[in-house]
Amino acid sequence: MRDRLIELQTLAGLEENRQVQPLLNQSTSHNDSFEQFLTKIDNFRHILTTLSADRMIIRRMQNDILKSGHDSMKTRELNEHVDRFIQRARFLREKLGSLTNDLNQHYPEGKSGSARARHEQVRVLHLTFETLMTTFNEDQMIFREKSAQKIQDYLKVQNIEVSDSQIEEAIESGNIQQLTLNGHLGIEQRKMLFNDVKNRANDIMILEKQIREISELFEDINMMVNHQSETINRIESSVLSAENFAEKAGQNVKAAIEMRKRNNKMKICCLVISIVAILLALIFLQSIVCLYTPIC
Amino acid sequence: MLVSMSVDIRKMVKDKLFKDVIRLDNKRKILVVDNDGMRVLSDCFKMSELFEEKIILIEDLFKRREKIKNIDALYLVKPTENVINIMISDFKLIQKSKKKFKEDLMYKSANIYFLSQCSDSCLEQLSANHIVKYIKTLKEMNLSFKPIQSHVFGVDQLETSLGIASFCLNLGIYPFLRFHSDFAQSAEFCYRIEQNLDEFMKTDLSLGIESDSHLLILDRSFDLLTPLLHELTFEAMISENEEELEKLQQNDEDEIWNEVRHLHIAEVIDRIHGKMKNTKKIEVFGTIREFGKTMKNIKNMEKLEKYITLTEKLLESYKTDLIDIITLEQDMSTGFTSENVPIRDGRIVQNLTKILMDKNVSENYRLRLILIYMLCLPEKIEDYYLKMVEVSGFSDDGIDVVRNMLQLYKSSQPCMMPRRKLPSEYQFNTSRWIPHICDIIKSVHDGSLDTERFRCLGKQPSRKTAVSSARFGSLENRANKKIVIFIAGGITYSEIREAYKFSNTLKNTQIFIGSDRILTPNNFIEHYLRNKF
Repeated sequence: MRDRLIELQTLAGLEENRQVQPLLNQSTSHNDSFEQFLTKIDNFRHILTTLSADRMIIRRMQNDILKSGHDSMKTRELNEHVDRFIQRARFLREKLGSLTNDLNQHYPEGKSGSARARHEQVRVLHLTFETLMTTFNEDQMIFREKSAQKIQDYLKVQNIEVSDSQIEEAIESGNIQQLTLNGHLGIEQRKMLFNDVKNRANDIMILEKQIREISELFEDINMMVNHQSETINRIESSVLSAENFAEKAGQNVKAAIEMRKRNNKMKICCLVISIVAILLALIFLQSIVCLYTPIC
Repeated sequence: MLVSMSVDIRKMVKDKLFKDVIRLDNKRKILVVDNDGMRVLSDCFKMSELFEEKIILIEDLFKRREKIKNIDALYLVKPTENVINIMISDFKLIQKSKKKFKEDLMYKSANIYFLSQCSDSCLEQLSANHIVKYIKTLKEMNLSFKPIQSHVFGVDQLETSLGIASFCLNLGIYPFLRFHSDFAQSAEFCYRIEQNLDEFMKTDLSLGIESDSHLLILDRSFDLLTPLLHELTFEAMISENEEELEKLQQNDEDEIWNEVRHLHIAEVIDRIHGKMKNTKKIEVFGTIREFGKTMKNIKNMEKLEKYITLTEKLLESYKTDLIDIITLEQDMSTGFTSENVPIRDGRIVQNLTKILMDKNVSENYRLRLILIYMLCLPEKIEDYYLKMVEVSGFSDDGIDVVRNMLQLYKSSQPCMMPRRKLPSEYQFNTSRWIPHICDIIKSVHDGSLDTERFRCLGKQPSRKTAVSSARFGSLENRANKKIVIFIAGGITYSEIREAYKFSNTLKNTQIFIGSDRILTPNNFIEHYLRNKF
């Protein structure tokens, strides 16, 4: 890569590292509202980044739990985290919804310039949000599956063989007892085993509740993004969809010309008036001089 | 380790653009692109990736754009006169009256990134206009090639040598240049590439002259047969039908696409059905039946269904209309029947006539068969082929094509390879043919390429072991072996597939393949044989 900026500036006779002068008088009301919009988008992005980081933390916690075995402290911590995640996601969805409504009301057409930017920014936000929620949901599904597997493994250690479907049934019906019936165990042991398995099954139930909440969240994000996701995300389709900016400039130019004409007229008027005034003053002066001195 | 060594052209360009252009500073920016800029961006990025980097809008340079004065602009363009003029008019000074001037600015400032080198006159033009006060960045990117796939690059027809040289530059290699000595234009072409590379060397000293890399320039005429044959991989079949291609909207991140693109169509359907089964299994899993339909699952299912309908359609046409034609094609091109018996001319002609007389078979397919026959069994006199065309009832157009082929064939006769020996292993009767490029790649790799037919330009590859191993250590050096093959006049999907195969199987070697266009049999005939002379 070759940098030719200095070469260019030398050619133009500019000093090196000349800073571009900030322009004055350019923040019109239109730009202000666009600026505000962009700040809003930045905020949304910030929340999305936080959510994404949250997701990574949750995943790490889940892996930890799977590795180390049941630990009520850790599980509680995880659940709190997940709840917070869902809360944040819900908040974001609401905000995003109102942003979209606002956009559709005030800027219905968006094929060029800032209007296009508004619509595309919002669409891509939706898309990013949706992707994040999809991966999160997937993480949850995998965690759930592995937790169920964990019960199975646990029972296996106690010489109790159960199939996938048996486990699923037990979790679904809440009838954990029947799982622990088959082994040749003492009453104490059985009780411990039962408690252990029950704890894990409970965790899974909580997990399922969370998954259900997430899937509710999905519905309207999905409505928004749906099938176009790949088209939205393609640069080519965005650039090609851009339309020529319909300038209001045409009117502006007319207004400017008229203004200039009026200005010119005003100037001429002023000139004429001032000349007449001077003439009048002279005449007045002359007549006063005439009146009081016997010269003329 | 092998994986980390592998180079992905797209990723390479993407990283470069990210580092040098997109992440210029942390301010909001508007990206303004011309067609080439859009191509490169579109091949490498998604909208969301750019928006995350504070790009707020991507504009088409040639369209009338809205003024957004308080935001910086980032131009990614090819430095043509037209482009320069438009940029100048984005930052202009308007004369209001005799003495008064007013600035008319589109954006806050201009950060200009040229895809190729900017001529001095263009630079002068920029410096002589008001825009110069607002240019904050002016850089040349040397990206005169298109990153088509991870191992496939394209160049513009009007600046092929520059394109290839810039590709080598980006790869960080100064390769040993070789060309096919049967084609005079290849030699000239090769020479121009060398000039371009030397030009780059002046500004970029990092070009690794020591590295073990080769660039081989071929002309499409070295193998006229491969583009005519039916290629039955998913990617090739789908590319023949643009409408279907559009519907699929594949990209490199599509897992299904990556898995099946180079597979034979008969394999694809099994693979996709297998995937479908897996997805369904997850869906009915356990208690969360109703929520189990995760978003990804739904999307995957939809996508898989799309693939299935498409594959079934392709398979259907393959089974009903094509199988006889393709078998005959393969018999002729390999010189053996599917039972590994050498073909007999009489038998071939008999089969051929049967298909040629069948008016239900499209004229294009029949034409291709005649052309293949001409290339594979070339002992006949010209009139024989013309007679064949006449009897088959082709339009005048078809006759022209055959005439042109005769001419093309005569001019490139010396390079036609002898009939090949029995292919050792193959999976499908319908894809026994191995493109000539395979032999070439193999011999470039093991250094046994005929030095008479493939001449070297400039530096000889003989010293590679001594010099480079001293500098890099032998292991790293071997890992860095890069072979770039360029075929002027188009590459086929079968050749692309072979290049990938070699990249995956040859240890420590990367094969890159490039051309000015990707050929399907139809556009091969269109470009080479129709209205050419």
